[in-house]
Amino acid sequence: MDQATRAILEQLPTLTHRGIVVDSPPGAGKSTLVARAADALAQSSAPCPVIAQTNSQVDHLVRRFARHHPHLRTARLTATEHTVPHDLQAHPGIQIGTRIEALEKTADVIVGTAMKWATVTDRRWPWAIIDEAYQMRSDMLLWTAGLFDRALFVGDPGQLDPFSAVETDRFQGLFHDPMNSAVAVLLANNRDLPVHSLPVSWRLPPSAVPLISDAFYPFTPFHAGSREADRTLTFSIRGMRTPTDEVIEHAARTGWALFELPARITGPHDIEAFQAVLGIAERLLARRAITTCGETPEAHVLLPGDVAIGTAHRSQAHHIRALLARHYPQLHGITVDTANRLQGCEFRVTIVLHPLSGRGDASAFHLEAGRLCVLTSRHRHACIVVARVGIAELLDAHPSNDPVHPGAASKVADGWEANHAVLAHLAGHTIDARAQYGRRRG
Amino acid sequence: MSLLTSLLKMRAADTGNALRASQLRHLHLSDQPLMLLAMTRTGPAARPLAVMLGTDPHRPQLLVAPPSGSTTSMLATLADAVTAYIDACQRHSEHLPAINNKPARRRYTDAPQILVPNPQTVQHLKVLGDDLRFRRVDDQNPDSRAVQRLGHWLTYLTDRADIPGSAALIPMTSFLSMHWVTGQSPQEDEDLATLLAWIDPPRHAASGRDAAYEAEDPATHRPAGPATDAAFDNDHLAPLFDAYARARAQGQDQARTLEELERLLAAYLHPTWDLMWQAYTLLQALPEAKSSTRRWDHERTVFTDECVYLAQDGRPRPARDQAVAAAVRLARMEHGAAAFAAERAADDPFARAELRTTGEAFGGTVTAIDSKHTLRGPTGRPQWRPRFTVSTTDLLRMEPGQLLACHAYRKAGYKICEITPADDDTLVELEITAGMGHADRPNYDVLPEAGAFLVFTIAPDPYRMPEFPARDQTPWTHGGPPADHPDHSNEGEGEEEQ
Repeated sequence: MDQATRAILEQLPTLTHRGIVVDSPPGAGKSTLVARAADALAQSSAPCPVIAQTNSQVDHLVRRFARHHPHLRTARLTATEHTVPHDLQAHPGIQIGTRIEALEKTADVIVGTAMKWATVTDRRWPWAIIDEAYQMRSDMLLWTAGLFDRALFVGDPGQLDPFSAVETDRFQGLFHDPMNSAVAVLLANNRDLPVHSLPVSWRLPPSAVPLISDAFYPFTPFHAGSREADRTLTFSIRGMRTPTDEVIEHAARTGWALFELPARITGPHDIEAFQAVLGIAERLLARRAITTCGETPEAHVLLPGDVAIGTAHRSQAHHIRALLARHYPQLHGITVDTANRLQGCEFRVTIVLHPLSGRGDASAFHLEAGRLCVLTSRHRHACIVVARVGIAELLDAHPSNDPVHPGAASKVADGWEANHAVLAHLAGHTIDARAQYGRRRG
Repeated sequence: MSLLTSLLKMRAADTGNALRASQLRHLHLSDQPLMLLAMTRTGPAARPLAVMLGTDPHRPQLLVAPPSGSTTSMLATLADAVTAYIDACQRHSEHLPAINNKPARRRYTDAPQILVPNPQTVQHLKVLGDDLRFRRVDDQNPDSRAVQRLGHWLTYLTDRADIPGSAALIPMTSFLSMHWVTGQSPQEDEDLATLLAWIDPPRHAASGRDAAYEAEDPATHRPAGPATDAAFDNDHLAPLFDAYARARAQGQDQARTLEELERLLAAYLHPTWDLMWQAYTLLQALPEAKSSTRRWDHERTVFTDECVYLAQDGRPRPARDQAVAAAVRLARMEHGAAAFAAERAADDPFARAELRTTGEAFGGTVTAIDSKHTLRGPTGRPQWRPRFTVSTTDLLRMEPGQLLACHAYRKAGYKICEITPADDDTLVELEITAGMGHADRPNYDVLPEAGAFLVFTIAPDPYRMPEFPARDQTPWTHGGPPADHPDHSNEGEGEEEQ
């Protein structure tokens, strides 16, 4: 636990405001803070509700409570449609229930999704913790705000903003825009609330922090908690000097690499890029990558579970998963998912299919800063981006021209600018996928 | 644009004729819709120039605003016409028995349906409604009440137009492009004349494309409003306006100029008026989808509620949505969109085909049925959960656990248990999770027959309108209870749940 977290925890019991907001960059100890705060707030007679946004976030938190705070009686409030993972079901210290009545009397901490909490009525607890508050839509906060007197809002301002399936601008500029994030609306209506930020990323390696901080967190800069020498990634088997080997070696050395495929407009289903992504993953594992980390000095052999492949679209993730299942059985266990679903997760190495790769245009969806931020900030050691040539030109041809609405502003950086910043950084880490071993030597 | 829409567009561009994008008409069409064309003045945002409206294709009513001075009397005439139409919908009502926790009540058997040429006209009516509903009512001037009432109805109608699947105020170009795909760009589809030429070319035209070229001819093409084109402004309107101003300054009679203006605008609007009725006839010929009846029933409920509100309270809707009202509106819009999409998929094989190209649905043949399958429920009681296997050649982008719906058994729910890729096809094992009745009173109708071809679509999320805080209970996170005018947006809630 770092200084900043401790200071926030000490403040909680004597807080005079009704709420407190903690901005947390990737891997800055958000979950630790949530767990500790719940522990501290649950000491009193009433249970502390914890509101997260997705079922996997809730399951993750519950698991953490059970492991690190075994003295707390943890309860999982769940919808009937959701099947709670087996390890939680089997855990003796966790109560699982679909009705609040069954849990409120006996639990210290009750964790559930905002959607589920919105169905709870006629209850009011002195404190609540809202996790991933920047992912929460403000209408969800409206429906759950009656449950607590005070609340701790924790979230990552650089990640994907909540969205709605309907397109309308009729709420734009309202202080209580229901499509805006919960924190944005909370702060617009309560300007005096204290806002803290956790200044240290424990996850991201020193190689990644300056870029991520500058490109995606212009308003809440942070620094790395680890030193350059703390994080190493080496291979125990020598490479074959193919571009794929070169890209993983470069990433191992510098923490970043861009695997550049020849320019082509392919649409979202770029089989060549999918193969490249899987090829990189295969070489990473085949060469027995070994990672060391400041916290656990002993060497760790990279396993499929330590690697994630990130995409922009669900159909891309699905396609890659299908290819993986069919042609790469040795990669079984790798996480393949979209930016939306990778939010909050952490891996040793990530392989990212650039959202703009192979596209003919750059829509707001693909330009969104949060999307690229999530994809490029999940790793502890290295991030390898796979993209087709021509993204810089594509960006220049599609300057962001979304209408500007006065009113509550988002803390998210401008997507167009952030994309350029990341691209400029990756330019120094580019490996050409076509480069032939012989040609380069000459 | 989905793959199927792109394909249809290319095929239409290739053949020169529009293609059907749906087999059924998904919005209710009234027997007596109010057709309304509006023209604005270039410049002042909400100053109308002319309105042509009516329920009879042969006898449109034309209202022209004077070039200068007050528009109130024109707006009052418009208000009378619109209100008379709306009042006619309130002539008959039906009795609804009490269900669940809702008391018995009455509902009007009809609701207003206003057809306008394009979304821009909807936007114009919205601006006009925002202007008029806050006008002060002056007891000396009977027109002022009518005008304010018009503002109220315009706001009601344009708010309804925001909700997908609502048929209270429909822009014709959107209505048409929901059912046909043309070979021109989406921007070009926003022009009623060319869109309709593609879909329903005149007999002498070789193809829809030729007809559209012809319709584009600047000599005969009339924009459907609300903006006029610049040439018309310069060449025709400006001289008349000048003549009007001169006559006024010299104290002469302006009636002749006004008459001329009326004749000019009637000629300008008539082509669009005829197009609107042509489009109406086309749409009326489409068979109506089953679920559009439910949506129209809902429309009538909302309309009845609005009439009750007007009678009991009648204060204008606030200029900006207050926190709870905004969240409720967003929930309604999202739910409306989801329900409309789900119902379209259930009704229309074309919609299902499109979903199959986007991976939101798959079709296949039932190969094996395990009708005896049971599960042990949480209480240990056995639950009947029949399973069956579907063989599909569609590209499957779903995962086990996905909940599905099927058009053939609307009340049933399904869950994917297992996906097994085979050589030529994929085998999907499904479990029936809803609609099969209890173990002691099973409903065997939900069991599909072996060999049947079925299409499964992603089931919409189970919907529960959350419990909203009352307006005066607006939490501190959203600024606390607002001080100003309350509104009634919690009414008619839950009606959208089926």
